[in-house]
Amino acid sequence: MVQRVPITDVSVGATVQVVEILGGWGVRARVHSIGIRPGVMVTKVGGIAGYGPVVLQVGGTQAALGYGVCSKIVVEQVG
Amino acid sequence: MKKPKNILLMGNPNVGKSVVFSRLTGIHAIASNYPGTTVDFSQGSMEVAGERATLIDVPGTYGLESTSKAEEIATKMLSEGDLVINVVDATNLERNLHLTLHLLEQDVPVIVALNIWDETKHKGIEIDVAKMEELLGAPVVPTVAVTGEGIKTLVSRIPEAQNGTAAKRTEEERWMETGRIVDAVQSLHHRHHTLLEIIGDASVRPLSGIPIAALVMCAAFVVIRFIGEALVGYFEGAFDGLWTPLMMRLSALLHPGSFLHDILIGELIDGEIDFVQSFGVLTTGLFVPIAMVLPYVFSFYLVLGLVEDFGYLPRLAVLLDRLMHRMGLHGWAIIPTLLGLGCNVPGIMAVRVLESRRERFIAATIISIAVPCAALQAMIVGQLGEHGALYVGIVYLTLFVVWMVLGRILNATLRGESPELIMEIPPYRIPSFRTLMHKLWRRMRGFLQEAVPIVLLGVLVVNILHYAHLFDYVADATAPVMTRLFGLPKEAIIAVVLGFLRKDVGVGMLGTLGLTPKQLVVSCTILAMTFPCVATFVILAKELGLKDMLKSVAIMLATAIIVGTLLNVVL
Repeated sequence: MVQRVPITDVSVGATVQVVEILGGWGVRARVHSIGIRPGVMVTKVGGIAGYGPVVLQVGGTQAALGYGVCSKIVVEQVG
Repeated sequence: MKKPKNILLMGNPNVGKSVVFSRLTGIHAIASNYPGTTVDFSQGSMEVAGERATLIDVPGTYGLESTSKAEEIATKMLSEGDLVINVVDATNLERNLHLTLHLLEQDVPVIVALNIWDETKHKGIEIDVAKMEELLGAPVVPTVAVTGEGIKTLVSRIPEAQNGTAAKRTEEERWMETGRIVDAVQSLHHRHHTLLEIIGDASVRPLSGIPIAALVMCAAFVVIRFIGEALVGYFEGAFDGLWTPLMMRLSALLHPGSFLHDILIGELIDGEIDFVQSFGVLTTGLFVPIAMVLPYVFSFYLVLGLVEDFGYLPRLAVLLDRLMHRMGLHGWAIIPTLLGLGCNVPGIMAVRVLESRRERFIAATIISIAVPCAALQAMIVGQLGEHGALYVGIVYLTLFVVWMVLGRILNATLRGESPELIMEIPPYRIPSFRTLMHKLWRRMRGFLQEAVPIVLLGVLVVNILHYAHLFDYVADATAPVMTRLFGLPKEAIIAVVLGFLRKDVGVGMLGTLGLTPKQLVVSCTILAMTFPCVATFVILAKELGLKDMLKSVAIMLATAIIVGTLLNVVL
């Protein structure tokens, strides 16, 4: 079954597809600029417990994004 | 094609623009392994087809829409360039080409330097360069800036760059086109994770990340202290063996007590020169910057350079993001803070990368108040260390608490929100010896050229004012604050005033007052917190504007008075 969840809910190590990025133009532009946009596959590399930042891998790039931003990245997860 | 006069070096953050810049101009710009090393542009000159041209190292930018101050600068500068050298990270085509395509839509010739080319091989990435040139319609040259590979070819092909013919695209169309080009030119081979990648991933997971951070911090501290102390001992020996006999002869020649003797040699302690207490231009004035401070500046920047170039700092930023959020900042702000531990000036300049004015104000204010620079730290350790590590510990702990509490107060009282962390994390890289040494040399040279003359001037001015008894007025005027609130002798104000020139001389001055350990703790802490040195003052005004700078200084004075009084009462 395919589920749509914010990427904060995905477990470390999983690779998922980005469906949409919620939030205003500013946030979207900054998230896009590091290559995270609808359609791309993203791997969750790490993250800090609680409401700490999440580390994502997109293609050859690793990036850290704050928890709040990540909760706006909706992904499709199989299972 | 007409000869380019202004060449811009542009690209995403952390693709090695500054290293390419050094290669092309012979000027060694500071390069590190984290995004945002270059916040200001540097310029130099290079030769293209027998003609001189100006090369400008533009701060890294992901796009030509401005989402931060650094990107704003980059976009504005684009209108002034005749040609762009677009530096692209070959291991990261997808994200980098987005900017390349955007540049090709502008009315300016573009040549692409496909940098970090050496890493593609062990990352299992194969790129068809000829095909890429054809699809982009611009020359593409593989380069390894760190070793210099491909740089000559890059320069020789600059005249081939043509004005882009691409029509304006929308954001979405640009990403589609990027994907199409990447699919056509790049093939990936499967390979195993390298050790560096495994450590890299482990550094950003809480279970393994925190022990790694603790290990890095402890190791950094031990190495800085070990190298610093060894060098201090070495320089002290050199001063005692070589300089003292010379100065004693000069002392006899000038006669102790004469005006010139007081200025150049200072006061003899039990008939001998005491490099810490005599306070003459040629004795303490030379000893403080060279034998006490320089060793620590060297060892601090050596270790900082290693940690920077390895790529650890962005990972530390991830770990500390939550802590920094409580102060209205995000994790990246730990980088300016660490730079500030070397010298507040580059620390406050680095604040420019932060997105909002509010963040820049908070970060710059807490750095200038609670982050002691290497020179100041060396002097605090030098003066207090002999009374016991406990006293040094109290000063550090106080500053740390002030840093945290003040950050929280500012976050709670200033209007606005703090933006979230969005930061690229570069791969771990084995530092290049060459860039490391150039960076160390540049930072050392900066210290020697700027610090030593100011220290000498400071000692000279103090001695003249002292001789003319001018300080007595100042000391009397501020005596209530110094004695009642801080429990210090009224002369301690002179050290604070002197600290305005340079903090290390200020602490050096304290050594002549015969203070108790407790008084030293209070006065060192106050010196660390009050008025930043002139250089920091100027940079604060430049980065924050006059109004915010004054606000920052008001906060600084209030904090210093409160904390100084508290320490005096508690200890």
